[in-house]
This record gives sequence, C-alpha cells and structure tokens, in this order.
Amino acid sequence: MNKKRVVITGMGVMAPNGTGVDEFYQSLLEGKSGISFQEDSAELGYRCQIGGVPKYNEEYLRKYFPKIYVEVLKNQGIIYGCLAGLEAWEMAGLPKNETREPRMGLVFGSGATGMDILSKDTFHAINNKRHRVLGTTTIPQSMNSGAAAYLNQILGLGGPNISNSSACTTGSESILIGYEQIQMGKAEVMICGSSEGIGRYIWGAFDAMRILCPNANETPETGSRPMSNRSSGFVPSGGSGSVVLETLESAQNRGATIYAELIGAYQNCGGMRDGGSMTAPNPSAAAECIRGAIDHAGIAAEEIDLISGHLTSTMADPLEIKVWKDALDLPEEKFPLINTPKSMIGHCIAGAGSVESVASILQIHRSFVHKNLNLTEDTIHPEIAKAIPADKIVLDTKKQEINTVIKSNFGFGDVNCCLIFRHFDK
Amino acid sequence: MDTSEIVVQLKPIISKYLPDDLSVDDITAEKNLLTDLRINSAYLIDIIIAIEDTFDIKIEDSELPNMNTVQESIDIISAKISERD
Repeated sequence: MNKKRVVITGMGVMAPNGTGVDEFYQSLLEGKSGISFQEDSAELGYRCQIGGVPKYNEEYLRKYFPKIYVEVLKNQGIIYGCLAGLEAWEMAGLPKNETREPRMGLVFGSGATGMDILSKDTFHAINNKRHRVLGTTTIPQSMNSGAAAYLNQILGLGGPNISNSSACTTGSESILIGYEQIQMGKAEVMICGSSEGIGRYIWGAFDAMRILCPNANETPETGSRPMSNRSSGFVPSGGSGSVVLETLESAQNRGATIYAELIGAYQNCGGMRDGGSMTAPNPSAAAECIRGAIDHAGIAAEEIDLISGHLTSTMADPLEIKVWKDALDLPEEKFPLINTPKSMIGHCIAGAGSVESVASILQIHRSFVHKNLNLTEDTIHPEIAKAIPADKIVLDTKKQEINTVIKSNFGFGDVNCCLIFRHFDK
Repeated sequence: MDTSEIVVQLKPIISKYLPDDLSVDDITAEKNLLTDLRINSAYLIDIIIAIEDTFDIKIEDSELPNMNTVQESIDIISAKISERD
C-alpha cells in the first residue's frame, strides 16, 4: 500500500510546567519543573506527597471555552483535554464547524476519567442520598470519551470519533490511531490527543502500589529523576497533549504551517509473557515495537537523532535503556541522544504520550534538545552508564538541529507504542 | 411569592445555560427555552433541578412538556408554590 504522507499542523498542551505550547516550550528550554507539594496527598498520609498539576485561570478558560463550559466542566482531565485540543485546532487554523464536517475526525483518549478529583463530589452526593443533584453533566464527565465528546461538541467533526484507553500508551496510541484512520482514507484531518486528570483517587491507588516517589516531599522538584541512581518511583501528574494530523495534500492545499511529519508508527503487546506482566514490559516485544516503527518509517536506526523515552524514574529505566540498545543495534558513537520531559512534568499517565509527543515535535520545530532535569554525570544509573555512552544522555539543554525523533511509551497491560516524527522536508 | 420575585430568581438559573451570544436580558416571558434561547436540551433537566431546589417545589416528569416558554415555566412555578403554601 502506498503510504500517504501525514503531517502535523497544530499542537496544544496543558502540562504541569506549561499552559499552552509557548509556555511549555519555554519551560522545556529552561528546564523548569512543574512538580509541587500536594497538601491533599499529605493529609491523606500518602507516601508520595508531590505531583504535577497543570495550571489555568479563568481568563485562559474564557479564551477557549464557551461560557457554558466554564460553568459546567468540573472534571480536570476533560478541561485539560478540551483546552489542549482547542489550542491545537486554533494553531492549525481550522474552523469550528457550523455544520457537520465528515472528512475530519478525532481520537482523544484518557485513563481514569471517572477517578478525577471531580468524583469526590459525585460519591459524596450518592453516599448522602442526594444523587438527584448530580444532574445531567456527571455522566458525560465520567465517560472515558468525555474529553472527546466535549471537544467535538465545539468542533463538529463528523468523521471517526474514537476514544482510546491503553494506560501509559494512550497518548501515543491516539496519534497512531489517527494516522491509521487517515491512511485508510476515512479522513483528511484527525485531531489526536489524550488526557489524565489529577487528585487523590487516581494517585492514592498508585501510591498503594509503592511505585510513586516517596522521598522528595520536602523537595518536590527533585522527585522525578529518570535514569538516575536515585530514581525512587514516578511522580504522578495530570495533563493533556494534542496534535492535528493531516494529509500533506490537505495541509498544502490550505497553506497550513507544517511543524513536522509523522513518518512511522507501530504498536504491539508483550502478551504478559516472557518477562512481561501487568506492570512490566516483555523486553523483546518492546524492542520489536521500536523496530516495527523504524521499519514502518523505512529509515535506518542511525538516522534517529533523539530518543524521547518512556523513562518514568523507576527501576524500569535501566531495563528500558537495554531495550533501546537491543532494538537500535547501533555502534556506541551512532546511538541517538536520549531525554524525557518526565524529569520536569512527572508522569502524566494516559496524558504522557501526547504531551511528550508535543515536546518531541517542538524539539524538531524549534531545533533544540532539552535536558534531563535532576540528572548529573555522576548520578546516572550505573547500568545505564554501562549500556550507553554518557554523552548521549542530555544533561544540558542545547540548541541543535533535530531531524528525527523516536517517541515511545510502554504501559500497564504490557502494551507498547512507538512513533517517529521527522522535520518536514518537501 | 409574586411573579416578579419568581422572575428575579429564575433568570440566573436559565442564564447559566445560554449560548455565548445571548445574555440574561434576552430571557423574556414569551421566549421558548429550546428554540429562542437555544438551550441545549441536555441541560433542561439541570434547569428543572435548580428550579426545584431554589423554589422548594417538585416538578413531575409529566409537567415538563408544559414548560416550553419562560412564561409557562413561571406559571408552573407559581402554581406549585401556591399548592405548597
């Protein structure tokens, strides 16, 4: 099958260190953390009392939302998703359609929509025999498709409308699915993204798994330390990223600005076999997913300039590095640079893949690589230091041309997803 | 409670659900909630719940078809208040 060329013509983001693409870019450039102390987590006695919360004020809401949304939307995950989606749509220069637009569609995924902090009010009302006050907006705001539905109520897209949910791969998978819909000829334009809310119900259960960072409550910004010998668990956060995918033909016909091209995409599952489990990836399947994306892109591994890893700041980081090394199978000097925005924003869970894809595209578009915060040459995990050359791990932000970025996410359920973005070249 | 007092309390309940190009001043007696004020039908039940709480009355499902306009809503609220008192 002849592949259609698919390009990115818009981006939006709500990240703990950046409200909107411009602020997010500045924060990545400056190595600014968005992680802060969470009083609610402390009051509840969680081991991990830090987290990443995207910030917005009423003015920002009113810039993008009709006033009815300002009134009724309470689910943070849905608010982040709609804000990121509307920003991406605006950046792409696309209209909010008055009539249904059948050649445009949407894929917007989420993780635990119904466990957002909003649920506090829902459960409280039900437990107190006052369910009638929930009205008509509680169900749409607890649907996994909630962000998709509220976003599309504004956009009016009549093509495929899909809401995916695949744990930490949700965001990158949303972009992969959008790409597939375009390749299948079902749409010319697909807005893709994912979202995760915040708060005690999502974070408490992760805390109980003892996989969150327990030893940075006094110094929250130092908690997320991917690839470090001091990595002690991930820092939970919320957020949303969104990209507008479009056929090259459609983008050129309407004179749209092109930020990057999506040249490869692949997903698979480790089957929770051969070392894979609910929470750990089957390493050979993860490597197969990476190679699958490279094969799909039709490039050689040595053409990759930058790996945007999953790298959550847990004991899985050294295993992930080994997967990258096995999958790319390159001599040391040709191994790509590697970084992850998680060092600044924590783990946005279902939002991670889309927020990190925006970071990947920004590094291509704005020609820079951002540092891994909370990592120095002498704190690189010894197994990682042994596996790859230290100078491939980005310790200082620098301006440089980045042509090709490979972005991967690995999620609970042993699911893998990998995308390859490239600088657009006619 | 006289009609004018009902109107004062009813307007903010309805205005919360208005589209961006309409304001509280557009809420006049003859207006149809769905067609003139273009309130998304999904929110009608939220308006009813708020009316029940504000005026301490109960509106039956069977009465909903008789609350098409602002005036019809005022009439039903008024009748319910009289019944209650």
